[in-house]
Amino acid sequence: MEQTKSSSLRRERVLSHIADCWWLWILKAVIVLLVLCIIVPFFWMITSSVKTTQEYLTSPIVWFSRDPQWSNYAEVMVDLQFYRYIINSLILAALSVLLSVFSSAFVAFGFSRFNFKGSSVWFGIMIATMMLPGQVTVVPQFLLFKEIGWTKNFLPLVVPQICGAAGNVLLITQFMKGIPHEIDDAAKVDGAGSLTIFLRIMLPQIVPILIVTGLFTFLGSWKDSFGPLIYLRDESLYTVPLALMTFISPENPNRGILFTGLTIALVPTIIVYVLGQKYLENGIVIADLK
Amino acid sequence: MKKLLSLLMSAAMLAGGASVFAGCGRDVPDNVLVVSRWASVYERSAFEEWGKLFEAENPGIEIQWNFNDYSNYFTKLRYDLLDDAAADVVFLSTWGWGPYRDSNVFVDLDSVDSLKDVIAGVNEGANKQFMKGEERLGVSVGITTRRIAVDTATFEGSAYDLSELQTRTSCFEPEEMISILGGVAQENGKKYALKMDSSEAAFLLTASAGAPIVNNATKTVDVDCEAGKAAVRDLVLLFQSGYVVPFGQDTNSSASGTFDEAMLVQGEQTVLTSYTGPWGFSTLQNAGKDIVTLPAFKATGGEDTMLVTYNNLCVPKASEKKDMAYKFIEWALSYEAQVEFAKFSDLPSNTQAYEYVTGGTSEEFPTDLFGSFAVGSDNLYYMDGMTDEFASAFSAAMSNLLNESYKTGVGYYDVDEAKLDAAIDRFCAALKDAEDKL
Repeated sequence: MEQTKSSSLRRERVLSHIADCWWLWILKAVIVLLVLCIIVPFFWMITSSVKTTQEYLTSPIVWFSRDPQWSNYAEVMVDLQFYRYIINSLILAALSVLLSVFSSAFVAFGFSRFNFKGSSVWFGIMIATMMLPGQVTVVPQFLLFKEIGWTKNFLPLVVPQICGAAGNVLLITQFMKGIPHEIDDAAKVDGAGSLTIFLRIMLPQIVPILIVTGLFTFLGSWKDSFGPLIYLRDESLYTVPLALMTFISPENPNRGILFTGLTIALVPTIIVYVLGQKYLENGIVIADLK
Repeated sequence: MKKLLSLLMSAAMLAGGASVFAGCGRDVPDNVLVVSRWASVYERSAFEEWGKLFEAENPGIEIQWNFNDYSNYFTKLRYDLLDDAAADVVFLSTWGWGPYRDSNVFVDLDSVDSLKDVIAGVNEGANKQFMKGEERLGVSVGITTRRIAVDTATFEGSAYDLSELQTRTSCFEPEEMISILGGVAQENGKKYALKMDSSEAAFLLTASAGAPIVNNATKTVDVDCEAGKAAVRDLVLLFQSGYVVPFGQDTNSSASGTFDEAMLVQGEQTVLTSYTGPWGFSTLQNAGKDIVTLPAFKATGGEDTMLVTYNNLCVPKASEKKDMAYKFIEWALSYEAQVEFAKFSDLPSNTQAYEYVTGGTSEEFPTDLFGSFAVGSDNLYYMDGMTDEFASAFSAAMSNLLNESYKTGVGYYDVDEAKLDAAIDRFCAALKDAEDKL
């Protein structure tokens, strides 16, 4: 009797709990759906990378290949020399990250630490440049680089990063504003100049946001196809997106290699994200606290 | 982890810096001729091997190929020309050369004495293309046409004899096409037989009628062209049959419905139209399909006609190796080079080589891909690249025409004739309104 009473009480409590949290279940279901929407294309890409052309084209769709073509990876990397394009893309991305992040931090230091005349105007102008669509500046920029003879190599893709990306400057400026000025004052008392304060005091403090902006810059550079297309003349300097475009061609008999190339191209971005994940999460938390 | 990251980044910076500076000012050696073309990753080796034949005949000259995918090739070419750094020899297709028609970037090849003979040896129709007034901005190196591609498996056990169809000596008329291809579709329990690009069909049908409504050569629209209108009527009825489906309305259709391999592999349709050449069927063959080609289609009572587009060789005025470029063009248009070209790319534009390839007697060319070329090969209709503005107007007019319904029953001829005729008149009038955009 007592057992029946207690199990019935437990059931009532469970039902009541479910009734109170029904909206949580709906929210979870929606989140699962959204996650699936994001994950399924990647899953499709990876499984298609080893499919035969027939399996790729057939209907109903084949989720898992019955005859996986693992040789696609060797074909893409070795026969089609995809490794060359990956190396080029990595070099370009690394240079872009280093130059952009450092120069953006430098500029952000100026905006956040120095109250010079017209600083807010200049800051506003810098933000306004973010509104300019890329299509507006691409031809004038190309003509400029043509005049100075830079249209045959990585220079037009890398050097503009030194000027900093407005978005990166904005993020780092806001982050720096959250660092107390007393730290700078204490350093000045010890005889440190502005450059020393920037290099030795500020940079170590803003590592999380530097990682975040570095990640964005890396992704932007990694997937840029237009810049390399119009500036690079020598095919040996071509990058991953340009190589992948030739895999898309309808004349390609082996359609699986496109997905093989895409899967391989994804690996560096995953590695970079995994390495920077801790800083990314910390950066978000610190930004919230600040 | 921090140290590892720093080390990796420093190494990357050093390596990148080295490569950046290594790339600075790196010029192409004087004995290297740069040739640019679009090509997929699998096509490149065929062009490179072809180029080696030129190198063998011209010791001391090396060819450096610059390849890009088709969709990016023309964007890149524009910027390369802006930079005066385009290749020494540039391939241009029908669809890609429109922006350069009024430009001043290519050499007039008629002014080059060493090319006079080879240009004279090119197909007469091809030689009329890519002209700006009296200037020859490029010379045709190859032509592409359309054929109906068939998976032989769909004809197994069929009431229709595939080998008879393959060896036929005339193009299909619309009613015949419905009867045979529709019959095969029915046998296979398929919904329809063919997806066809409606714009190409329109051009082909009106051209084979002998007097196309849109005349690319004279840049005029002839709304009173009765033969052309009859052919357009055929086109509408073709699509109204249900077995032939219009694919896309885009007149720049090189990348649209003709590459509908997925539908063929999936069995949702029994045939498709595709470009000729080994590369046109490589995907299907890789998917395990045994593909053969049949002649294309024509207007009822019209002439056997091949609808063709073309690819040209051009020499930018900014090239510093023009003599070498002319040598390459002279070689590329020679009989031997053209025969080799046809094995992996387009049909030859050199008249002699063209006759050899399409003659039907050559053992060099796989008959399953080239065997039906003889049909219509004496009557080529060159599909000139239209301006974007006219292409849009054409597309809209075609869409309106095909979207109207004329069926009064389920039979091929169950149509409201008056309604159809009025719609065709409206179609022609819409094209006439856009004539100045040609």
